Amino acid sequence: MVNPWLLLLVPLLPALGAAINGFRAFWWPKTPKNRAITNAIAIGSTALSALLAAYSVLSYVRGGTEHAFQHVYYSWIPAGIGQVTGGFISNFGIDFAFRLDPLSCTMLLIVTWVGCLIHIYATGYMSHDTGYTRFFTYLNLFMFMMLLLVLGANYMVMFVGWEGVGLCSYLLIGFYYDKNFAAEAGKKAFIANRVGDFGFILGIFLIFNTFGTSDYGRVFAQITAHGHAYAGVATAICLLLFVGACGKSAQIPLYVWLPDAMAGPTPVSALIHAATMVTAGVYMVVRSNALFRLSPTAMAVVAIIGAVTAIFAASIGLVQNDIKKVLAYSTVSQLGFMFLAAGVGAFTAAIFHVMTHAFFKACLFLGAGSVIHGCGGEQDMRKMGGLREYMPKTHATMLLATIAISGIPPLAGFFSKDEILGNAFGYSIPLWLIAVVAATFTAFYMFRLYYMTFRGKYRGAHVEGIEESEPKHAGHDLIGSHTHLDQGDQHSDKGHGHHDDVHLPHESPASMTGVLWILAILSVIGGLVGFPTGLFGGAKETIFQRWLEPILVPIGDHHFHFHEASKSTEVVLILVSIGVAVFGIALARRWYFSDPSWSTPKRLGTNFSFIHQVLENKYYVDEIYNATAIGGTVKLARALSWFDANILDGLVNLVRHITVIVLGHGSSMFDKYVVDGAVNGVGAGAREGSSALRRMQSGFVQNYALVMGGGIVLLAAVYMFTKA
Amino acid sequence: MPEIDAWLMLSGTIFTVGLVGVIIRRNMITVLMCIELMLNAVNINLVAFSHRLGSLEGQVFTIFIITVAAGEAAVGLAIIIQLYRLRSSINVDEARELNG
Amino acid sequence: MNLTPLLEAHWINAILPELVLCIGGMFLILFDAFAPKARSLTGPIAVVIFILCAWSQRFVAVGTFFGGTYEVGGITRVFDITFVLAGILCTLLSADYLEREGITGGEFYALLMWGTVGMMMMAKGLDLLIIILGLELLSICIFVLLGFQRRLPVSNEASLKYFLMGAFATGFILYGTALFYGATESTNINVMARWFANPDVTITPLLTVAFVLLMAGFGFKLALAPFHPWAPDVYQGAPTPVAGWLSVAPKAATLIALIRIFHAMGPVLPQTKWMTIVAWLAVLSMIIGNSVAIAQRDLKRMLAYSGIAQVGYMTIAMLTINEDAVASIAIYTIVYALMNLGAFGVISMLAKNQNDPQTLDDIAGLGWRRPFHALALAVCMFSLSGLPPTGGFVSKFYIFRTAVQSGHTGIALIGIITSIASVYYYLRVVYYLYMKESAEGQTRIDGGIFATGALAISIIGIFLIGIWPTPLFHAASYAAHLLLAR
Repeated sequence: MVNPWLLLLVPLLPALGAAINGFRAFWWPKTPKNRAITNAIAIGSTALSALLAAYSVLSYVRGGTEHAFQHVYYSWIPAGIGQVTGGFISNFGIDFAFRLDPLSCTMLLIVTWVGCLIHIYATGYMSHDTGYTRFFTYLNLFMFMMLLLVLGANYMVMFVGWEGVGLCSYLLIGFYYDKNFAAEAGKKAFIANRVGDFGFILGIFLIFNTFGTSDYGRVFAQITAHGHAYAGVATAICLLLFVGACGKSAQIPLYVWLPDAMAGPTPVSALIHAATMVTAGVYMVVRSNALFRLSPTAMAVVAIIGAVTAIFAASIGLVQNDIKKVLAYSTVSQLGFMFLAAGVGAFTAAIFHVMTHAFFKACLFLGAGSVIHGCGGEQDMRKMGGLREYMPKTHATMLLATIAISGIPPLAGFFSKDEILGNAFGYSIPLWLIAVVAATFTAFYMFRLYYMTFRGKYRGAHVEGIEESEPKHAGHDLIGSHTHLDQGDQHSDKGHGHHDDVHLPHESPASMTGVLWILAILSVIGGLVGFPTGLFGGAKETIFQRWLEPILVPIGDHHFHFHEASKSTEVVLILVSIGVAVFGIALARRWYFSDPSWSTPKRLGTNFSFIHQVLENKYYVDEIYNATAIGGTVKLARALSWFDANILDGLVNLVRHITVIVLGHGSSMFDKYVVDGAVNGVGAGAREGSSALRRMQSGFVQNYALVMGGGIVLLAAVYMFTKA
Repeated sequence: MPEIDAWLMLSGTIFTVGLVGVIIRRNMITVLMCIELMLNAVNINLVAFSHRLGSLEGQVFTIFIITVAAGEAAVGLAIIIQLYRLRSSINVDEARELNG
Repeated sequence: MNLTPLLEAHWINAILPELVLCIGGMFLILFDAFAPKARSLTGPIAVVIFILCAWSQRFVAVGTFFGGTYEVGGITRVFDITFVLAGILCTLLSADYLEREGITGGEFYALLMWGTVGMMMMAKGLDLLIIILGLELLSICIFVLLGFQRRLPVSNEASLKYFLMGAFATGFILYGTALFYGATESTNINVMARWFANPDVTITPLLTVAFVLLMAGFGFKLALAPFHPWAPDVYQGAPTPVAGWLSVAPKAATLIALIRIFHAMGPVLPQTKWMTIVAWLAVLSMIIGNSVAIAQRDLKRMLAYSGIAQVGYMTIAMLTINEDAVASIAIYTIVYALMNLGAFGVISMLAKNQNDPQTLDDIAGLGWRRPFHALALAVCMFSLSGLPPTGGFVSKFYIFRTAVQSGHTGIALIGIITSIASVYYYLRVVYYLYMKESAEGQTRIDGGIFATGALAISIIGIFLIGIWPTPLFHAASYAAHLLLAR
């Protein structure tokens, strides 16, 4: 039996670590901290929490996994007195409760163990940073929030974690706050996430209103009992929840924040923006699979958005030269694969890919961190090359992870991606084709990254020609430039030798390479749970599918079908997915390795300069968002200045306008909100508008009296022109 | 015309005069007087209703309003004196440092 | 004349908290006059008096008193606690503020106490006369408190503006009351309720005018748009602890008075469009408050607009008076008192010329200079923006859930949308606290032991209610149940 109090300690330990380190970091900001103590607190708490998590999962598995383990710690938000809402459902309160079932167990282990590894890695990576203790405070706080998100037994506890990880992500993206673009990137992430959260909280409200509870168990039980009755509302709920997932998991159209989020330190990119937080959206969709299966429409939307995001981001990744940007777009694309899997009904495949992706993408990001660290802060792959000789361990581990993500058997990525492709094929051939092309792109850009970085000759010493060809991105990690924050003395020669005239890359410390090895090994063997249980016999169900079986609750008389492919089709599908991977790799090798001058890609770049431009500028999405936002701002400002001139009439009309917008065009409102909002739009627009409103505040007290009198007239008008 | 309507019209007129006065007069003392006008309009109303309904509540209310108005006027005059000391004027528009 | 038959048994127990505060205020004035050397003690004594007042709640007699004009019950206790809480926080903040600004405290605290008495009268009044007397007692105290820094032009201006607008609004309330009196034949709320409950009652246009006037007057006290323009100016000019108190306590008192009035009108509300008017006020407040706050760089003005929006949220719950609505408003006011006074508390510690605006630049980089005070401000901002697990989240959740359950889904939706937009300006404060470097010659934060204690109370309260709201919820729901059971 699971001990609920030990389970409670799993999130509480990192919280405690955050509290202690936070106290140390903020109370005496000027005094240097003893890093050994910071390490002991930060890593000790996460490691202990990881061990407890493993223990809890083991004891849960021993007790059998058919039923979820659930423990109510206390009643968090009590319900009203004897309230009964519409129909047959009474109103439950919200408990602070944790739930262990195969799904949360999987996520729990990923979060705690990968998190723990990345903590260890960060001790090496951040060793030169003065914000060391502050960094680990945020990281521990993130662990706490992420564990709440995963363990929570109802949507409200999940929401607490959901908001919390968003906040930590914001703090960590803006970690180098003295750099303007880091703060800007933090703001962008925050706004995009708020749009998503808006959908999520509305979805929760709708769940609450429909089922009278937000508890997973109760909601699913009601769906099992009266599946039909909820088919209509399920579509609305699922679409709202999916808006939340789009924000958190960086799907079209809210993905814009993730590439910019690379402004944060690389361990953060690995932990938050690759392995854990961004998969929260997938987790939430899979968690709500009972609701989603009720609504084929919502499923289709998820699948299409997922597939489109997968190919869209992958195509951008083809031409990026910043090593972290390639990985960022790769993450967006892989998240698209996960949603595609969820959308076509292969929920276990989605979680399987979450798991394997956590291994190889964390390994890739950390490897990239190691490369950046070794090259003294350089992120442009055109100035790398030949690093195999300088950093053999990083090279070996990254090669393994690159093969894994490309989908070459028997490494982890192959199993999960093949499962997704197979299921997509059964659902819709066009989606499958999109996914196959995206998979080809993946293999290509990952090996392009590999060849540009590790093979060929080191190009770091002679870079003059390249310097002007592209302005620096505003998304660079600051490992190189932040050293001015250092107090100076602990600056050793093994890091940051970029003051030297001839700087050669060097291997990273053991704390970093050790973690890389562990993750690389996981990337190799992590997919083995995707073997069919009866490998040579009849059963096609994989070990992982059998493990996750209990989370797919029956949904009454509704059944979601997807076509099972025949044995021969399956073999063909496997061959196709291996084939495209090999093709992508071969192409990358031919273009970027066999021909050291990269003449083919350069020629293509000139011949198809339009496409190249579009891709290089990421389809101009940022520009489009900015342009529409500015257009909207002008309109809004004009409307408001008119309003300024006609205060009394204006009030009535504006309110009517707003009502029309809010109530009349409910759906287009969202669209507008997204388009405007995505970036600085809402901020800028609202600032303009509110400046106009500010001018009303003249300071003359009698004007205020007039406004009050006008208000009464307004009320009378409202009274006369509305219906009871 | 029933008696009560005449009283209501009287009080409404006085209230409006007071209201407009508060909005347009610039001299603080005049504004204060206009506020008193508004309160007295209320008193007329209350007494008229009290008379018609034959209940004393309205008249009690009136007494309280007169008291309260006196208290308010006292504080108001103190504020005006302070305004005069700081700005050498009792023009309401003098006080517009706070805006935006 | 023998008054005994007019006074119910235990009448003195019914007004015990008010008596404690009245006498306490007088004592403080005398103490200030006769022991000028011990002036530094006035603050602590004031806190003790407030605590005594809270303690006296134990002995309060429950029931209706003074000829059916004064009702003491569960809900008035909950609101009394809110007023006392606001009073204590304001006193603690003022203790250090007044000393820094060189103001003597006796009258200041006395006015605070008498203002609190006024609010208690508003909460307990079962007669429009009592409610209006409480309102006037409160208003007169506020006029003086606002102008307490006599030498500061802004303080005088704040006082003047609040006085003019307040007297103007009182005129509306009184006129509306007079019209109600004429129609319902009484100023007693219970009698009015019986009149409204009569199925033959017809709603004349005159009654609607009365309702509009009443809403204009009370809307002024609540700073509901469009009766809000005074709020930013007054908050900016007022002594900061007073601004914090003013943004919280009088609103709570007005809300409970309105709850009583709306409840009495309950039977006729379905056949009138009166609640449509209230709904428009709420929507306007949420939109205007949240959008204009974005443009503010002055912290007090920003909080004023935020307050306009917050009171808009509370008004949503008023649209249908039921147990959940009353309970959620009670919870919201308590949480709002904690978070808003906490925020104003940090601002009150900015040691600069009080005639100048206190802007975002003054708090830049505070996270590194004064971690505790920065943390307090950040927590208050998180709570105001409704992020879990703060009290602000729980209280907003209750408000919106109540609105949705009562069928006001559209308005709740506007509330949720605007509150999500509001995060932008709340979090901007946090951004300035932690992601800006402090400049040379930055404004000093000057927080003494009392003010810091007030911040600690705020933080603890916000998290306590955010993490474990059950006891408060049960108390508020039970009190609401008793209030509406009649």
